[in-house]
Amino acid sequence: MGDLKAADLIYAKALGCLDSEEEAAFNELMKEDENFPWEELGQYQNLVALLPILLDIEQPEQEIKDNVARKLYELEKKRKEEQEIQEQSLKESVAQQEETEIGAAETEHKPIPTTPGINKKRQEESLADIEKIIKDGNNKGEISFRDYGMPVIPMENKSEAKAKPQREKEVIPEPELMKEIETPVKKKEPEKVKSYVSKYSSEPKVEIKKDNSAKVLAVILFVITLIALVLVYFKLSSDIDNNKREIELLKNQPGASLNIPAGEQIQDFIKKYS
Amino acid sequence: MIFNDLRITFHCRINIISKQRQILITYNTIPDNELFRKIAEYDSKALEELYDRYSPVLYTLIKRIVNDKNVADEVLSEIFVIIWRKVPKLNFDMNNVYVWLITLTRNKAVDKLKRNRNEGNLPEYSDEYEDKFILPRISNVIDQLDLKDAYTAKEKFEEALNKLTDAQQYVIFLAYYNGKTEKEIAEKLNIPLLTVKSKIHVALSNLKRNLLKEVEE
Repeated sequence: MGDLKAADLIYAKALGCLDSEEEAAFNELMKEDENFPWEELGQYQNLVALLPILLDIEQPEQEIKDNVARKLYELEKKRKEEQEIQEQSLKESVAQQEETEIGAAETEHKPIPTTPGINKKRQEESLADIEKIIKDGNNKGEISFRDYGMPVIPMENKSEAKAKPQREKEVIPEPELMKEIETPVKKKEPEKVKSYVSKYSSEPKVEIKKDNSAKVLAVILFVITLIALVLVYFKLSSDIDNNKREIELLKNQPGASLNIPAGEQIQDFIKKYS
Repeated sequence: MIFNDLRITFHCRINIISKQRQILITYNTIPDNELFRKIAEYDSKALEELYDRYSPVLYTLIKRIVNDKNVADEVLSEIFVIIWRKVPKLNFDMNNVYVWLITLTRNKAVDKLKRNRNEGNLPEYSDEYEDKFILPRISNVIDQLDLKDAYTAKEKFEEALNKLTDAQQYVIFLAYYNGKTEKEIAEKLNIPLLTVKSKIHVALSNLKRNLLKEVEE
């Protein structure tokens, strides 16, 4: 097929009405033809893609979004399980390889216990979580993608996410490895999580320290304030008592009952009445 | 020491809040191609935003093609599952997300319609089939179109389409919404295949010319 043929098929391709044979031939041309008329194809693809805009736009029901979220969660779960299985088999093969290498030196090795129940247990936990969330979601009437624990990568972590490394083979120093083989290896049980939201969420994990010291400080400050208030109270009440006593004393002194009009000097007053 | 701990805790909390706010703001405003690149990193929030942005137009298109609410619901959710599933295979440098999504949706809906009607002796739906016939290949050499541009061009596009003859409009309708191939259209209208080919050619060329005229006016 030449360039002319590609140009002939472009209109039907843009409109999506090629039959399967023509479609396959056109795809071949796209791959192989150096002079493929990409610009023309792009123009007609853009043109045809405007057709749905003329329809009366209808809003899909919320239920469909929930359904999408549910399906995506299942997919994500499957993907993670496959990834785990791959990692597990990789670990096992590495362990086996190391075991055979050390086998020549060691007389007797204790087999590394495997925990076949873990994956099954995890699956059961996840399924229980899904059921719980679906029930919760039905009560809420709305389920977002996030409710399904799909990973959300914040903007800041974009570079980190891109550079997410594959788990590398751990190099264990020989003496430690020997020790590990001598004692039965205990595989870490996956940490139990209350829901898969916290299990799969990749939101920035910021460890917030428990502030017991802050609590102690607050209690101390409170007690000090209380003591200060009590002291101030006693000080004020004793001052008041002293003042009262002084007033009483002054009242009992001779001449205390003299009524001196305000603003007059005592000397003038004495002169006036002497 | 205690004050230092308190200060760190306070700063951590502030950081979390500001990050959450930034996410809320950013996803609504980022362009389609950026959103698509985030989906490539399995960012479900980006896919959710893509759903919120495009589901009405895609749903309307699907419903128009399959003409059944339940099937339309199913196809719409399948579209987003395809996107998530095909993440490793997709070209995320593609800058024409709008056209890609519309074409993917149209292909999937037509496929569903034909399978439901047992039309066209379609092969079994497989991963390979999906890659070949459902996932669209979009030209990247022309300016990208987004939802906003498309709605802006709506009136002019409608006028351009209305200027086509009834026969030309009907051929476009049969091909695009009914999923008929050129051969099927020829059989349906009882006209030679070459005539159908030329009608499609002329219809699209005229539509393009009319639209350019409308835009220039």
